[in-house]
Amino acid sequence: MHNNGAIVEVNAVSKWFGTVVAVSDLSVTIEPGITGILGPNGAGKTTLLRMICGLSAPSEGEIRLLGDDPRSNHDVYKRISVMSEHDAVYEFMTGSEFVRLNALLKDADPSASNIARAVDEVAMGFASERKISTYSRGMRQRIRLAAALVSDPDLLILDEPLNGADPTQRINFQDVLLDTARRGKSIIISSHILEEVETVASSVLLIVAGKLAAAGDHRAIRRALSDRPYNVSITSSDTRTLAAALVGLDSVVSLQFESDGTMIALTSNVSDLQQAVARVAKEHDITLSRFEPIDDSLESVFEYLVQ
Amino acid sequence: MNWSIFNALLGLTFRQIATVRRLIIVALLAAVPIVGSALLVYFDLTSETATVIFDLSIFATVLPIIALVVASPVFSDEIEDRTLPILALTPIPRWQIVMPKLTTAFVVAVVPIAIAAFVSAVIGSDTNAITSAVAVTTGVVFGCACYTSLFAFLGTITGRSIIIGLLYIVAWEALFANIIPALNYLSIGQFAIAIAAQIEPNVLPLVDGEPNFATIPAVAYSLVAGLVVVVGCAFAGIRRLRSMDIN
Repeated sequence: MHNNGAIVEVNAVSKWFGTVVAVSDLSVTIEPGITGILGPNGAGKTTLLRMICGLSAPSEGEIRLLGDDPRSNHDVYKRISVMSEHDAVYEFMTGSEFVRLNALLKDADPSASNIARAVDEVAMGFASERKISTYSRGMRQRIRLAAALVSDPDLLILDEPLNGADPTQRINFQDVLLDTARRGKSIIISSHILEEVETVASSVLLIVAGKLAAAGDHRAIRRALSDRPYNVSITSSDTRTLAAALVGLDSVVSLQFESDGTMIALTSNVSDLQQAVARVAKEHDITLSRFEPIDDSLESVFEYLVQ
Repeated sequence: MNWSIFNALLGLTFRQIATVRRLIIVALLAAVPIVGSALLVYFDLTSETATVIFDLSIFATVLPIIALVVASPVFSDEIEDRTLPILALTPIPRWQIVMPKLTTAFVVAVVPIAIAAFVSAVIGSDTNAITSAVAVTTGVVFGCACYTSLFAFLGTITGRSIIIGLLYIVAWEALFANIIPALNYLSIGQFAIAIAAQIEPNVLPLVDGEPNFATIPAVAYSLVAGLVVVVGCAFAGIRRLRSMDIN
């Protein structure tokens, strides 16, 4: 497609706002297909996407979008569509009017049949003649997706598109993305939830604190997340006996005790620990009231990955 | 120029700025000089001085404030509502985004301003009512083009364009440009008055029974300076749209 087939090339890009560094010396090449950009809130995903699509200029470095600088060559926007994280629509328009405006602005086919095709693709035909101001959040997201799809872009850039979507909307949205990808289109989708990204994305970029923490197949990212040490909170009727039995296990890195009798076990393998705790509890007739990984947040995962 | 895009952006901008609340504000502002003129006539207060003061107050207040209310949201609302990326992430040349927006702002502002100026001048003028009305109306139409360009551009560089615009109108146009004669050469209101005075000198205050041209810039200068404001602000808006970081 372009240099080495890349759809996006990010070369040593940094972006800072005053003294705050949002993206730091980041280089990455995005290939055709569905790419997920994963990272905790505030990691710099949106800043990176805004620079990729040309809304924001890098403080340093260079970005090529489909082989061009999007800040200076606006023709590239004939081939891409962007759905920003903000719920930005012209509320006074009907859904159809909004999609038609986007077709016109993209130099695409503004005919009624093309508008209907895009609207039907996101199952919004039933409400397309209603004012957007009457739409729910999920409906707004879908009409924005229709507006993005109406120009049949080669590349779709979606910033946290599933934020606030209910499970049904989420599945429908993912189906549309997979259909779009099957037609040979590329998609870049950001999220702070791994499951959202891995359902659709063939490759994942992990962004933490403005840097690229990891990149590759989503299964490799998932393995990296599973193999990291976890803190597990265990509450039982006999903490002392349970601790004595667990302390010698290979999978237990350390044990800490809270004033309320809760034990915090740092383990390299949650599954092994779970089996061991169940076995010891049964042998010593200990009642377990709680077994819960307590640092399963994405932030802690990223902290581990970037150590 | 792609006319279907131009028309689509005209319609879009019109629906953005012609909100009920804004139209009511504009109608009330436009009614002020008409009602004022009617009151002058009703109480038999019309005189050359009263008419002149009234004409000048249209240039100093009603014209710039209506232009501000209509033109400043043309871009600032898009920035505030975060809808500007819908326009920016398109292959359309930036000037083809700016021009329909400026055109719409001018048309929406100029209609009530021109009606207010013409009707109030016809009602309130002692002599040469139609000529005075044509003069004042021509002046405000010219001033409207300058002000709408200026305030639309202001909306691309600050989210507080209404406040800054009001400060500009009060401090610069109404105060400093009136008390410091040299600043007349940098006042859009004075350019507009100069155009009007070229058509009907009686819109100016009298000194020794003659219209006082000494207080206003020359008409040729005013035309060129006004054109510089219109083109300069349009050009600056286009450049700003190209270079700004859009949220």
